[in-house]
Amino acid sequence: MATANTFLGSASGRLLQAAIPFRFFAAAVLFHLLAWLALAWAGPDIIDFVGGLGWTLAGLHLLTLGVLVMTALGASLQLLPVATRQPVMSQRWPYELLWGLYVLGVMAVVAGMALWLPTLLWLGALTVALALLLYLGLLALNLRGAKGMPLVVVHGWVAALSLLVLLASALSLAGLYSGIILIERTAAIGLHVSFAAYGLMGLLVMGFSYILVPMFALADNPAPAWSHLSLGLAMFALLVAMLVLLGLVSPVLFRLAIVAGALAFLIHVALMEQALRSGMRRNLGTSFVLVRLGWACLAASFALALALEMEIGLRHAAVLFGILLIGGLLTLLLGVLSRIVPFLAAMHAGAGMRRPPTPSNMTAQRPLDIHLYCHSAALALLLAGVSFDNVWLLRGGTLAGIAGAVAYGAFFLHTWRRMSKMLASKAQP
Amino acid sequence: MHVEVRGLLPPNPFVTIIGLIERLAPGQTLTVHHDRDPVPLYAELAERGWLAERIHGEPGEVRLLLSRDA
Repeated sequence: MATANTFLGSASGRLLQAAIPFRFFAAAVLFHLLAWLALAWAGPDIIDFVGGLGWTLAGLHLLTLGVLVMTALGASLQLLPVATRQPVMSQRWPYELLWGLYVLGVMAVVAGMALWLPTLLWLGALTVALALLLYLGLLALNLRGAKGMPLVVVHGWVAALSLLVLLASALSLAGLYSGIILIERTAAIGLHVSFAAYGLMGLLVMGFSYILVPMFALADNPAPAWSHLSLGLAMFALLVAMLVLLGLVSPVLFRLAIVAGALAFLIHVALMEQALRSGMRRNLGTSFVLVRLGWACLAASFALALALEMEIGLRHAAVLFGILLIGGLLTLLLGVLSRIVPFLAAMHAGAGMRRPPTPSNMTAQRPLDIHLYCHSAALALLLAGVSFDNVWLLRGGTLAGIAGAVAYGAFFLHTWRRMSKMLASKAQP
Repeated sequence: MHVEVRGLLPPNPFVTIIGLIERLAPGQTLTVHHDRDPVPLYAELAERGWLAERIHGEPGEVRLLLSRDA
């Protein structure tokens, strides 16, 4: 029989040190609050946003780079080795370098956008690109050595390729303000939105969901034929979108890309819903209320994208599309993160213990409940404010967003402090 | 009771093991034959009032004895 101190002994090879994923999550939680503050500062400018530097663009990138990609980095660095059955790198420096470069780059990018400082924006964009290339290297190393999980691995490769398109388009857009032109602006914006939101984030989220959702719901894996069809459609949609945006095929085909992307997403959601309905655990709490809200927003984003493409008259359609797309991804990720954080905290705090702490023991439910109400209200008020040209609804939305971000921060801090306390007490002789 | 989950892809070992312990009678234990340390499993077992103990297994095997926390 093993003694208590050898219990979970080999887990250390598959778990990063707790500080590594948690510092990515901590940065995401902080940027989440800063994003809502920036959007509140932008105020009425959000309604008529058509691009260009300013607080709206800064707030938007605090959400995308600061929260969405930051969360994806932290989660994938920890979860992918577990899923692909590989040991994590023993050295800490690649992760610390990635985190440091990325945080610095994001701060420079958003400051450059908010304060109209093109040189700072360009330097920030280069730093973010460097950090994400480092991440790409870590991701490729993991995917190349993956043992099994072909569905997750292919999602990972498509996300990695999307990251390259995203970086090229991002550098092109950031460089425009400094007179550096790499790709024509309209094409760069199209590539940027398509490959950042649906390519990188969409594929990472879909890939990880095939493991996480059945695991949380205690359900069987979804039918492979349907999940492969969903992945195939997503890849086809991204390819067609890229060909259209680079001017290589007729622009009308962009509608085909949207429809294929929507079908890919709907099949994925149907598979996830089936897993949730058939799973042994039915009550997944507030986290999956957020996940479902995120799915609904993302589905609506495809409908609005099609309406925009077909030039169906709808006031502020582009802004509404942006809220649904970024809001949908944000809602989905915050929901998943609210389950992953206590779970990871319990795993780390319990390593080597005969009676490890439970995830529910590491969770503060009250702040999560408050966040759910505030976040849902924020999205609804933003959509209503933009739809009805009402600044007060918009302001109410950003205030609700700030309150929600504070509550989410309280939840995260609670879990982090509990875990740190347990780790510190274990470290004492 | 024994369960062989070697070769199963994630999250199937996790789901299989949790599904089985839910059906065990009081006092019954479950021996798990795994090909890797099931890192995410322990937190879920703790949540359900179960303990895991690593016991001697074949070379390359991770063998766990699961029992209810008294």
